Amino acid sequence: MNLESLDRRWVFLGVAVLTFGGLLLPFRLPQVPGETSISYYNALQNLPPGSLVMISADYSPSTRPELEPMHRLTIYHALKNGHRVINIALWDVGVNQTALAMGWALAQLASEGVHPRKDVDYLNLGFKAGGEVVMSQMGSSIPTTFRKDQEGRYIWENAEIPVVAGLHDMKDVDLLVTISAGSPGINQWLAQVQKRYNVATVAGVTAVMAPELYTFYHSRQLLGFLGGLVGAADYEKLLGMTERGDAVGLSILVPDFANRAMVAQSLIHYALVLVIIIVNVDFILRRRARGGRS
Amino acid sequence: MTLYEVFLGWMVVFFTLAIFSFLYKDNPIYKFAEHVYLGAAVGYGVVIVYAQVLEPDLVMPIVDFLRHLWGGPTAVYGEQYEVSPGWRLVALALSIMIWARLTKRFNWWSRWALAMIVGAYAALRLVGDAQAYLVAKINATLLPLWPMPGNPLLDADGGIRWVSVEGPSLLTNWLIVLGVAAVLIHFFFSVEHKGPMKGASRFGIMILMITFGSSFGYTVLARVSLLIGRVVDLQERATGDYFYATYIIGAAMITYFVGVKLYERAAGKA
Repeated sequence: MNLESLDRRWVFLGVAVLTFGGLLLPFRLPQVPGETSISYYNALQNLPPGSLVMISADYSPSTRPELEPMHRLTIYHALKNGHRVINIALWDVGVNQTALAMGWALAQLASEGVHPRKDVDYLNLGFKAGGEVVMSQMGSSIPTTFRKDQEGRYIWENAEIPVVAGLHDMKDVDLLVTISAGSPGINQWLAQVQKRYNVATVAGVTAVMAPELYTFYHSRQLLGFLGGLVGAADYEKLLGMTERGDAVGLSILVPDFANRAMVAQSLIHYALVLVIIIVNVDFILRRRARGGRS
Repeated sequence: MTLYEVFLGWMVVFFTLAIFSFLYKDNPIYKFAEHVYLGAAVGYGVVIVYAQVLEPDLVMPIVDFLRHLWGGPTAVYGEQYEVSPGWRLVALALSIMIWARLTKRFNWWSRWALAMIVGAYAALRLVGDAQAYLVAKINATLLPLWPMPGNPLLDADGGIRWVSVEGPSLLTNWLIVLGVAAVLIHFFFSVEHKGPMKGASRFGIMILMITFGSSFGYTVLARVSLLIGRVVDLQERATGDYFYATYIIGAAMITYFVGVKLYERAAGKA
């Protein structure tokens, strides 16, 4: 069989079978958290209780499997440690993602007997269009940028909403977290806010974006980051979610989703490496047979 | 499980499989799903932008200002809004000028609005990008290349950190500095690449290839993760709770494609 002329739909079919099969396997692979994931975890873990954590949902449902686990776990982690959480979104559909992540985190915390209060422990400021302009404006004044919250309430200087007390601009934010799938996202936050206002920043990003973040991590512009499904699996491990994943049937909502999905992920990676080796060997053998350069 | 949830489940399965059907070949089911997706995404975006941006930042302030002018009950404009109504009217005028692009006579108006946007963004990014990308990264490349007292290449016991996965080490610092220099030399075309320049340039290419390779690996990781997300959704909806939506819709689509194939064959023979 000539591999050069193999119908690529056979490869698609093979990947589909491996994915379905991999997700049915009843075990998890050992997950050893990487350095950047541990740094992300530590950035939240080492904050003093009551710190103000701003979480920006800069992604859409298209990247949900990678980013939603890290988004909801970040909210869970911050609220569990007694921090104040301010949610914002610079992508219009980020508002829905925040609602999903928030709902999951609150349900998880409730199952552990922790009951954060809206307006006291957390608040959703909603979406604001403008990307970098919004970020820059938040550097000088957050009340001017977000006059109302997601529910349309005037929140500033409101005694019934103490979660924003003392929040004037980005310098008042103790940790900025961006869950980012593109632009506006982590690159813009670094340029417009992190460096200009010296705000401690961490990011959860898609795997496509992860390689370029290593440079920001080594220059200490980023305190840590989670890259793709592996990053989410690391974070689950660090938060002890792998001990709770005994739910029957895999769903994106189970606490150890990323760890269980890593079985299929790894299986496909091994298969792709194998395919690359096979087609290259086939290519070299055919070129030799034709008398070409080997 | 309510009937509405079951209906949503069937929609999820149908649109997922419809989009995946493109992997077999372009077809009307895929086209339908594509158009519905784009329409829904644009429609959702318009509603969100109106509700969360245009209404609170443009429409309501102007309405309140007009009420204020006519002595209406909301005569508190100055307290409620920090930005003056004049600036909001300027923003409105610039927005309308962009729409002038759709007319033949006044389409040049849109250039003014676009010039404003381009100018503002250029100014905004100049400072931010220079600080975050240029200065910070040059600074991060200025690394110690020899262990000296007080620099991070010596550990607490005074020993040399030759190799370390976590944190700086002699090897990684040399690799970063030489790698950056070699890549810069590779893109420096004012001097012919021969002699030592050729060797440095080839090392630069190797560094670039390793970088592209890791980016490719991460990209595969990302795409497979998205596939896993869809497959998990399909598996969830293959149960009795959803009346086996995945199996039924999947079988219906396969039947459709087989039917079309048989019809095309028959028509070709005829």
